[in-house]
Amino acid sequence: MKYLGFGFFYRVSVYIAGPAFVLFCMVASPFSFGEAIELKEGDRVVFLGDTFFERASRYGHIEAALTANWADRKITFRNLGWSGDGPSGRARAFFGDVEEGFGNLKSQLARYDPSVVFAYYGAMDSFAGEEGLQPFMEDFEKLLAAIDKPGRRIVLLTLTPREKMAGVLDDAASQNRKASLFANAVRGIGQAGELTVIDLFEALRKPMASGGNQRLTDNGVHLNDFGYQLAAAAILDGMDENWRGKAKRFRKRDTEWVESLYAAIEEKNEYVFNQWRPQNETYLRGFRKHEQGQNAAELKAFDTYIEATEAMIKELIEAGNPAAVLGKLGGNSK
Amino acid sequence: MKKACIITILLSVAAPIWGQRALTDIPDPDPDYQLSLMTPAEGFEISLFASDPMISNPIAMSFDAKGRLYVATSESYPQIRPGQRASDKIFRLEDTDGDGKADTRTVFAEGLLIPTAILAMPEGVYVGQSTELRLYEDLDDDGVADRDRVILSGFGTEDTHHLVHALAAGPAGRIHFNQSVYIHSYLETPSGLHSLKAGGVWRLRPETMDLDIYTRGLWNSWGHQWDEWGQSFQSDGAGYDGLSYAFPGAVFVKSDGFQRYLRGLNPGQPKLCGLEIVSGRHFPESWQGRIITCDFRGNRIISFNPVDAGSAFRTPQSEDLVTSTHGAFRPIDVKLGMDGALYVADWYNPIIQHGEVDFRDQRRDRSHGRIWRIVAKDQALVPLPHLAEASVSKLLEQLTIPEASTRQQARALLKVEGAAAVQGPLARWLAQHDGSGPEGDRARLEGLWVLQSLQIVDEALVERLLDSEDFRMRAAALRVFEEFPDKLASTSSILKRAARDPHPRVRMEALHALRSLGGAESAKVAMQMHEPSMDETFDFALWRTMRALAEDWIPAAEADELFFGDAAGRLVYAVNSAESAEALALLLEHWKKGRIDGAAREDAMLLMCERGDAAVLTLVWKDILENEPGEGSSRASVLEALLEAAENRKVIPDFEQEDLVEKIGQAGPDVRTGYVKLAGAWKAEESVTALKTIIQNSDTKKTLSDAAIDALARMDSEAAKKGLLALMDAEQPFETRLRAASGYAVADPVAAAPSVVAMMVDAKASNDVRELVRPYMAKRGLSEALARRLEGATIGEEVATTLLRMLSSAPTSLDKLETALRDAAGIVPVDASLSASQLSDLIEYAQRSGDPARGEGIYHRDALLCATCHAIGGAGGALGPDLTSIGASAPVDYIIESLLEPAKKIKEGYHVVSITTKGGAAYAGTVAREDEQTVALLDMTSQEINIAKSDIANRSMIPISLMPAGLTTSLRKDEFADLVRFLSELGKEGDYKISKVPMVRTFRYLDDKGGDKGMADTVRHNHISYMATDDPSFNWISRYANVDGRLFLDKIPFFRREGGKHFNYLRFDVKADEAGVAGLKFNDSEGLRLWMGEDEIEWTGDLAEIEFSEGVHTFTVAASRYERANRNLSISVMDTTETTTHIQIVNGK
Repeated sequence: MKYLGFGFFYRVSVYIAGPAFVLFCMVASPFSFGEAIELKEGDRVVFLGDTFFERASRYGHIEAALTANWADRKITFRNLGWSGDGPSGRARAFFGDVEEGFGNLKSQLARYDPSVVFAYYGAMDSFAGEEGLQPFMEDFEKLLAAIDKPGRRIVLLTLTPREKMAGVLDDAASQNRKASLFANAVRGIGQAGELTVIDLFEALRKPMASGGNQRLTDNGVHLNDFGYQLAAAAILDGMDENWRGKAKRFRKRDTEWVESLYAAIEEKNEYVFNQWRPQNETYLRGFRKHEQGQNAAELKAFDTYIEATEAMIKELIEAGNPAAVLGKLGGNSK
Repeated sequence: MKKACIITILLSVAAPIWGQRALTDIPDPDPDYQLSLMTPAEGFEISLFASDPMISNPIAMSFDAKGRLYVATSESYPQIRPGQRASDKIFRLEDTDGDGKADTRTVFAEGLLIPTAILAMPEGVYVGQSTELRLYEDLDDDGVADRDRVILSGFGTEDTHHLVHALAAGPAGRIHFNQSVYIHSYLETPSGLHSLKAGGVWRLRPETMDLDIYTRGLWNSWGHQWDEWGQSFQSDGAGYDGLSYAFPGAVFVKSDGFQRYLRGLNPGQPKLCGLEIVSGRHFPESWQGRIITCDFRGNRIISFNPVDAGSAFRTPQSEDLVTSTHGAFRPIDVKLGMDGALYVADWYNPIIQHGEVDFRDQRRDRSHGRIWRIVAKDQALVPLPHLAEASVSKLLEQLTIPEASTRQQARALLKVEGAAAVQGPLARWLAQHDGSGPEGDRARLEGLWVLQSLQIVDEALVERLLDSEDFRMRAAALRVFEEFPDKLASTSSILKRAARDPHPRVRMEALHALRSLGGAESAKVAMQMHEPSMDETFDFALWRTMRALAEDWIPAAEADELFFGDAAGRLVYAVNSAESAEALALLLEHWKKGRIDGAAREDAMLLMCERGDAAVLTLVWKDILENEPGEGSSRASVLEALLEAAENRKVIPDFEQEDLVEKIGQAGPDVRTGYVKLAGAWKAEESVTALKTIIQNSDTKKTLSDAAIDALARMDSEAAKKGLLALMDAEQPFETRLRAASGYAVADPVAAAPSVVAMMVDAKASNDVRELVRPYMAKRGLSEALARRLEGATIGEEVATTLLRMLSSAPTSLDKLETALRDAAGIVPVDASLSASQLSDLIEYAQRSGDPARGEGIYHRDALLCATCHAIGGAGGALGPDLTSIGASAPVDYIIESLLEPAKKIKEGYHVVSITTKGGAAYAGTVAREDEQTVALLDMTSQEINIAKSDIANRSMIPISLMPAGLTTSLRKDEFADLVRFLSELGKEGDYKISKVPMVRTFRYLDDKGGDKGMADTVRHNHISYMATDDPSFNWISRYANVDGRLFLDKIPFFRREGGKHFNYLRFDVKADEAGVAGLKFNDSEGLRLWMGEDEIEWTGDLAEIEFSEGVHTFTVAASRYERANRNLSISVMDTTETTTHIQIVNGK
């Protein structure tokens, strides 16, 4: 990441203030730009964001896709998505103010010291429309400045579009107009900071608007299983133009093995969740820690189980059929 | 050192044989044994519906339309272990042969993390677990969910048992669920982000994902249910106010974002869990409409009888449904089944909660759990309605049956059928039930709810219900507009009509709808419902409405000065609600034009003081100088408000000192103190002479001279300091010297240190010396300077002990001063820690030899200060947790450790906040109140310290207890055991359970001031009725009755009268909700005389029927020592046929 300067926000404003943004594509996908980024041996990946990433943990597609595409490499993943969060860290504040939430976000990230961060923000902020744009961008700039460090690669994801759903989300068009402002803002931030941007907003817009028989969301906003499959594919598109080719090399369907891989990923994510976001926070680490703080020591012990499950995932992927995962994501359908 | 030390005595106890095992006081889990310890109410039977191993540790349950029971259970509560997968389960139980026992069980869902909420609806089963609300669907109805998804996520993780709970279906198609005080939630929905950072009830329409907050606040509300007219009630599992009346926009204690809130309906009640309202053919007539909830700490299921009271309700407690002496019986959820029986989820655990007791405590039960079933003897069960297969017309038929929970199921099924299928048959069905009486009304209300659940508002139906003679029906009809204000063009005119309804509940429902409708016109209609006297709930709803609509009505009121009519009181009320600068400007506009008159003037002045800047305060001050107060109002409250503005907001008016000096000289006794205080707060140096005159005048009342001394102390001028020094002269009375020295210490702590030490040396146990030393607690350097001054001094042990207790809650360590105080008094510190074996010995000893009756006497000893800080049944201090059911909830080891080492366990809400001000002063205490400008801390002496937020440099929560360690060190071992035994009996079934009947628990007795002769003479020479006057020389001291309500008359001072008879004099306070007659019952009337205010009450027998006016009344009792053989006195509230008003005993400190 090349920027860190004062006045970044103003530069970004210039980018997005124009009638249209200019893409300088360095990778094959039409829905991503910036420097192509691949995962390397030993990478520690953190997913940072709101409900998009929090629920991705349960569906498993994104993590499975990245694991399978770079199956020969040891890569670990920590999902730090938190429903309702924004780049300010507001949802992580516990009893404190937004500043404390931001501090918590930083220390949560520092605990895993990632080499790669995927950041997804804006879904809820976008409801504020134009008025919400400036505070969102300022928060995002502050976040990026805080998490940037030498050797760390940061990938920005634009928010997913809204899907019309009768009775639940009738105003998809107007919501998407607002959402596009925020997608645009993230693109602008990416360009200004010379970061890789994966444009989920554009990538999912077409399948969503086509009104096919398969819905992408549960409620117009939050992706369902199919939606996450498409999102995972879009992320791979933005990172490796050859992944669909890899998928084609393995035509064998291997449902049982894929399920066991997904199950292992889910198990690992469950341990991770119960470690970094345990219940009874107030008693373990908060203002009642003098009562139950002795039990906070248990949290460290989750590491053993997380590492063991990661070893299991590695074994599965080495012995198994990673392209079957890629195939499942639609790689061999094109 | 004279003090005996329990710890050393404990060490002499014989060596432990059974060690840690003594801590495992676990009841036998055999269900038959448990059943044998249960006592149902007369006419009821209880039996086992399901038990382990079929289920374990049930938390919540819900019946589906086929009568099957879904039970959310958790073995992993309170905290999942490293390496453990989420494995908690939802079970589906079914009684297929109708014998009252579950015979079929399936694992409906598994892999959950502490599911805390469950609700079976036609679309699936909603489950609250971890940070999510999920929906499980069982497509083939085989009892195992086939798919599930997240509906909402982002509930906070701060506390397991504050997460989503009390899922409940509202009457008109929305589901409701609660979160509690610690939880900070950020929920994403298709219409945006919703956050709630404390307790509250969420309301969701799942088919649209419309989400909002129904009520806010409460500590931990685990019960919520609607009555037959769509009014709902909540219980609180961590508060002490019993039930609350819930309505849209209601705010209760500890909310996110509101300072003002409504108190619960049952102050002094134990904590409650679950809530069901009785309806249906199976329960006896006398139980219909009762609220059933669980005193889970006290192992019992209790009931309340809601009674309409103005716009709200009162809910006197009624019979216990089930009591038990089995310590693991933890009823936490109650639901009526379709058969009319009541089902009870028994979490089954000797240990509850997880704050105080270790997550991994081995006594936590993880394998047992029960569902009990309560039926009325000799009363037929209700035949099952077979709803699931029913057609639309069959479902409509069900809407007339008496069982509310079945009607609820039928409405939910009708909603699933959809508008197209339901509207026609519903119209025909309503035509068949078109009578004008209660049956017709019932059908119309059910129809209204069905349509509302389909998002339809039927104007004709609403109009018909508004014509009902039953105000509950009229009120219920309006609720539809609260959800759908925009559906009808006629909403506004319907609400205008409702605003003139004779019943306040109906008008209040109109307020909820107007708030939802919005707009200036709505605010105008709302304000037309304003009356000089409104009940508290209505007043709250109006305030809430005007606050919510402020942005709408302020511009309108700016444009039209008669927007709220010509009654100035309405404008002042609206401005008070709005809390905005624009609103205050509007008020000032009217004030300057002289439009605010009469009683509204004082309210306006208070508001100006509360919010105005210096210029606004100057207007107030000018008015005080130029005008006499209006009739019925007093300057005292305005002066108080000016003082608060100066202290809390640092705002003072432009004023001429000579005006203030003149006021001090001329003001009447009711307001003089107020002006004196202002002189200090405004630092009016020219008043020093006037203040000294006041202090030196021997006729001056103590409150006034104290205020004058304090004013000098705050003056910060040489003249004032000189004045204080003169007052410390040895010729002055000691109390004056003490006050002056305390003041001097505030004004100049360094210079005052020698005088402060001198005062400490001269002080006796009866002198309160804490104010002397308080200024030295603020900074470490000051405390050390005082410590150096103490070298070589000798002070009394009691004086030092009082000071040490105060220092123990200081935010910074004041060890040097503590050491100096101990040295000066010769006190040796004790180590209060117990080893495990000592603890187990002590538990065993307390259980074997402790006498709870003696323990209760020890509890009330003045030296232990128990009742100063803790309340039982609402009587006592509020500084520490209420102890009403401590014995039933806390294990004995917890009680002992809390007595010896208070800082080890601290209850929620009693955490100490430490504040350092920008001036370097430090304070510690629990937060008593907080608003945008100030924080009020209650320190360990129960003194309220107001700190302006603009002054705060640092604020943090610190792990200390305000309860000083070592309070019990003066007890002998047997006494300590008695005290522990008493505490461990509190709330359990038996003699130490708070009665259902409200009783006088906080008495005040007349102090004899240590045999003071002047005092004795005053009493002796005046007529006995003089005792009911407010002679300022009378000192009334709080004394708390025993748990059973008895006060021992021989333990309080008595006074001799002319003629040789001796009397005790006592006071207590009673609040009447409205004017009318109510009864006070005495255990024995012999030898008693009673005054309400100064009017003597005459009565015969033991029941006095008294005519009350609205408000709080002080009663004085004279109890003759010779004419009264019964040496106990207890007084309770008794309803009789003559009763026309509701009264509450004002207990408390």
